[in-house]
Amino acid sequence: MPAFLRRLAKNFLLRRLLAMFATIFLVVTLTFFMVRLMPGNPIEVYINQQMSLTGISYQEAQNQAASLYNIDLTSPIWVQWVDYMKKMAVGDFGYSFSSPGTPVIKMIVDYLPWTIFSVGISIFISFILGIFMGMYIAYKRGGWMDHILSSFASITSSVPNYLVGILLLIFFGVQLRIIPFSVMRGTAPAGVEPGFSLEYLWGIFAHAILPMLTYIISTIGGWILTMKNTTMTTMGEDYVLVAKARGLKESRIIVHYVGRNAILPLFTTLVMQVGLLIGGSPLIETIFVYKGIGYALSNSLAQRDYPVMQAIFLCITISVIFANFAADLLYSKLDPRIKSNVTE
Amino acid sequence: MARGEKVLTVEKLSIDYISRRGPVQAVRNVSFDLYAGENLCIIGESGSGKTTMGMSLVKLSPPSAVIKKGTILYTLGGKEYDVRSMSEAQLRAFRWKEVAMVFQGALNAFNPVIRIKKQFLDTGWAHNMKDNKEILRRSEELLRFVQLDPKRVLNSYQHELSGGMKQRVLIAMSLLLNPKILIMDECTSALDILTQRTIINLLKKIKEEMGIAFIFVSHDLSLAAELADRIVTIYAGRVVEMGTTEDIFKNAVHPYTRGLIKATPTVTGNEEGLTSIKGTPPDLIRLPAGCKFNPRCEFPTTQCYQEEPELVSIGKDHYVACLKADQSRD
Repeated sequence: MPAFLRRLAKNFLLRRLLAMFATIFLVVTLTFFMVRLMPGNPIEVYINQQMSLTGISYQEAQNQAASLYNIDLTSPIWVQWVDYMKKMAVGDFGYSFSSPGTPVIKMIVDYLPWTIFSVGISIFISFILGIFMGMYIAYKRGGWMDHILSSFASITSSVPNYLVGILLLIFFGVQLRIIPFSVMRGTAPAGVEPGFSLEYLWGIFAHAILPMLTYIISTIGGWILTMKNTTMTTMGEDYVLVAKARGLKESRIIVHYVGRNAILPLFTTLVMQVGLLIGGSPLIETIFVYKGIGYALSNSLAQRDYPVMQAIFLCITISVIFANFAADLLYSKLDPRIKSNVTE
Repeated sequence: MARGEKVLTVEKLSIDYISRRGPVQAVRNVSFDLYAGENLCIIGESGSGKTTMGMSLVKLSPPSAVIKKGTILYTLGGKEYDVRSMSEAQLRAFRWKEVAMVFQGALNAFNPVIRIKKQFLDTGWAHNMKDNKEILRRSEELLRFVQLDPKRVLNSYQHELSGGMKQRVLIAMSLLLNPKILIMDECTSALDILTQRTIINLLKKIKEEMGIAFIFVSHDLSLAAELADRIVTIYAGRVVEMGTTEDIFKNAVHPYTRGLIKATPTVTGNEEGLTSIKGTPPDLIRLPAGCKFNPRCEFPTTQCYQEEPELVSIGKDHYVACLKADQSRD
């Protein structure tokens, strides 16, 4: 093998990229077949409907359906798969079944930003608050704040997030009537021109507040407990004791000696969560009728809208894989001990 | 040996660890002095309370360790420091500047995510050295002194250094602020025999060239033989014998010290001469009555089971805590 090829084969980045594409290919193929194995088929339903309504033959009804949905129903499934893969490679995901004429890609572009907006901000707030609280109670363990926050964290991190959502809805919407949830459906205020006006920005925040609160409440406990744990472990490390013996200032030890080391293991989890963000949360977005990608996913699942489902699954796959990759790169930046693995 | 001024007085120091079963009496009524430029070696088995005592000298023992009574008084540069009554801020400025401590865990003594250079700077900054160039110049000088390549070491992370290198870097760092006293806790235990040799030679060099007073805390009597001017033997948290290195090696009186010497291999001796002390160190929560060494002693008397001996002088600078000190002195 020529030297440059050998070097290429050893290149970490290239190897990772190839592995990533292989994974994406595999996942797309699997979803393609799995989705088609699900019982119930909207096109069958449409064909049957047309047959009973207009009395046309099955063949005619099928032709009508095929032209309406722009889909080939008669060819063997593997031909459909090759066709799908070819189109997907150029970014064509076909049309939605449930709303004919809408390209899938347009639906993704419409729904996805809302999820990224609401979940992204929630992850950020939750992470920042969580690590500070975790660190605080690690230093003040045994104190009243430790008791309160630790119990809060254990409870909220063990309650499923949709329950938190429903409870918030009942508490703020029904009991206290603070939040007019009937007006708060959707993602943006009605009748306000989209743009960087204060009114619009406030509107989209107000609409996202309950889903965001739900995400924050259900994830912050995990951060608090993990951070408390890693901080306490790090506080017992020899280098922290030596730093004290060296007469370093308490603040410097807390931030640079304990903090930096305690936060390291949490970064991987954080980046992985950012990867999962693209999937949104079908349950939460359905509860609050927040029209993000999770809402679109649960609708498409209910209506057996294959092209939309497949496209969303693909988005999730890609973002998780890339997040994984980013986590590796980031970690090698943050922790000098594993640098050698990346630059080998 | 010409003796300098007294720099440290430890008097009647007692430290307990709080535990569920009751107080662990790690240090009991320990008194000793340290003189300028002197090497004092504190010898004891693991679990004898020697590390706890070493840590308490700069008030770094864990929160569960409580100093019950006693004084730790430094007289350095004409100033007196009573460690027990110092505030956190005073202690912070005092540590490393006046008394530096090199730990047992040197293998893990450096922050893994910060370069060594930064950790030298951190140390300087903490003690009001503002000039980075000056800190680094001094660091390089010290690293050369401990026979390391300064440029390479300063730009390394701790995982890029070997155990012996880290130990030497820590020793170099401990000298950064010209401390008057250096406490070394088991500074050679985790190292291979050749690296131990390097470190011991280095410590001799520091002693000769810098005139720092050392306290070695160790279980290794051969290290003490080589480095110490005076030796303190500790058993069950208590001083059982104290004397010059010559006193201890030639005229040891306490059966425990004698046992330790017998258990130390020599270059010329053969293995047959080696005997270990039978039994195990006592439970520091339920100490035996009378002399704490009685269960392991070869010739205990009835009195030994009733009365705990006081540390008494039996010669110039030679103290022992044994009821039978007179008989066993032949």
